[in-house]
Amino acid sequence: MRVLVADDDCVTAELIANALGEFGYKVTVAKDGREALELARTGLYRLVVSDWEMPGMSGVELCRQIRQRAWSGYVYVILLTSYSGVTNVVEGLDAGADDFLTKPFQPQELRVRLRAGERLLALESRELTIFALAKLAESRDSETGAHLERIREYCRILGRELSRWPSHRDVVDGEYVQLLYLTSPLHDIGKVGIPDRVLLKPGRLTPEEFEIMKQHTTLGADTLAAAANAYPEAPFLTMAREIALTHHERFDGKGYPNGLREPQIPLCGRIVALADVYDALTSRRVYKPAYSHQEARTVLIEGCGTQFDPDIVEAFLRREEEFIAVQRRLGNEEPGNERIVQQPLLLESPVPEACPV
Amino acid sequence: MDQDIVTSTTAVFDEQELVARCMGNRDFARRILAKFQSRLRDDLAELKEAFLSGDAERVTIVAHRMKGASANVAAHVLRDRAAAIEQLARGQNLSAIQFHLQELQRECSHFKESISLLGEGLGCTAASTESISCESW
Repeated sequence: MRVLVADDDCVTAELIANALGEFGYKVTVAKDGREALELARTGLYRLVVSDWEMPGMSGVELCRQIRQRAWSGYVYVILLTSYSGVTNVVEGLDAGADDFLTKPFQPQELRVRLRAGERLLALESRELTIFALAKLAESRDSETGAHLERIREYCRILGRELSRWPSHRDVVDGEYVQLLYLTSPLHDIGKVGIPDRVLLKPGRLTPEEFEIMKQHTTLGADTLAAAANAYPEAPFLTMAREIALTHHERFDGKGYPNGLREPQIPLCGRIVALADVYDALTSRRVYKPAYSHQEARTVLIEGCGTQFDPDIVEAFLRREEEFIAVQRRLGNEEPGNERIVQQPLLLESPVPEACPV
Repeated sequence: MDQDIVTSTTAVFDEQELVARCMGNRDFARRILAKFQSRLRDDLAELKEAFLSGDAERVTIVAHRMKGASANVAAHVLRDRAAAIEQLARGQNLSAIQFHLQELQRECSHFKESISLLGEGLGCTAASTESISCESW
């Protein structure tokens, strides 16, 4: 793996480069912050070790510049410092530094810190892999556009709102919201097991076809459960399984596949349920035009306490401006195309007409 | 023999620490010491110039750089001298620096002598130290 080392002191830079070379890293040395920033722009470096204090552009400023640019991949930055004061550490953290190393550096300590960085970068790769998997599953349905991107944004909005509530903040913390963002795109992963004649049918599903379609919840959950059993240390698989299994359950117990009700339904499933329906309502389908936000809002309110957890509906209402912003940013509808759905999907379906299946 | 030399010069330079930081590569340690000495000479000249021109910011930068490099080559006394100058310069207390500058200069000479003594151990000669510089840096 490549490491970019920035230090205006050639002796220190060469010592670090030698140690990292011994550990198997490919090292490039920049003699100041500006040169380091130019090198970082190439996108070749995901690990940066920078001196804190350099003339021209300091390590803190370099870090700040890297963060402002929002490159496609995360860049892990370790600042070398002789400082130990809290104020300086806070300044470094505020600039986006990931870790600190006190001079004189110890090679083994530097190695351990870099390995921590590599683990974090691997997690990001994991997230990309998970999302790619979800997109692959979704790719059979050409109509959904940026559905997964919107779903995870909606879920994050709801999660952040709930994390502020005394009734939920013990469960919904930053880690929970991050897991929700990561795993919500996998909610329909089980659709890979649904036959094309059902999944891609442009018209209304028959009751028999709907029964087949409903199996995507258990198919997805079974797949993810097998993965969760094999990798019990990966909590995201457990949440992903819960979401896949329960995102079509209803708060009143009339959903599927298990007819769970109220708190029997995991919170993540209740959150994704609302996000999924909102997105289905505000997106155009071959069988329906797109609802406006106001029309979708009305449906969600009507489903409060029956289809949806009242707390989740309340969270939605408190953050609806953010929903609108996401829909505008990631939606695939032209303004004015929205119309109210006139025909139900299934005459005898237990789910509302506009619900996704 | 190396151990004896190290013991006698630990106050100015810790060879074992440097070699460990060089991942046990004594040839590399020798080259680093040569580069450090060359840089030390240049930094000392720049430090004096900055001090005489009353440029506290430049004194801070150079002293900070000397402190970091000295720490990494395990020249602990030099590191302490440079740190004292850096701290005074940060506080704009240039008048108090002269004494520490003289001490630093004396320590640099002491360090150079110590390195010459260590030359047999690390294969570092006065000639070799003079021939390597950071100009390409």
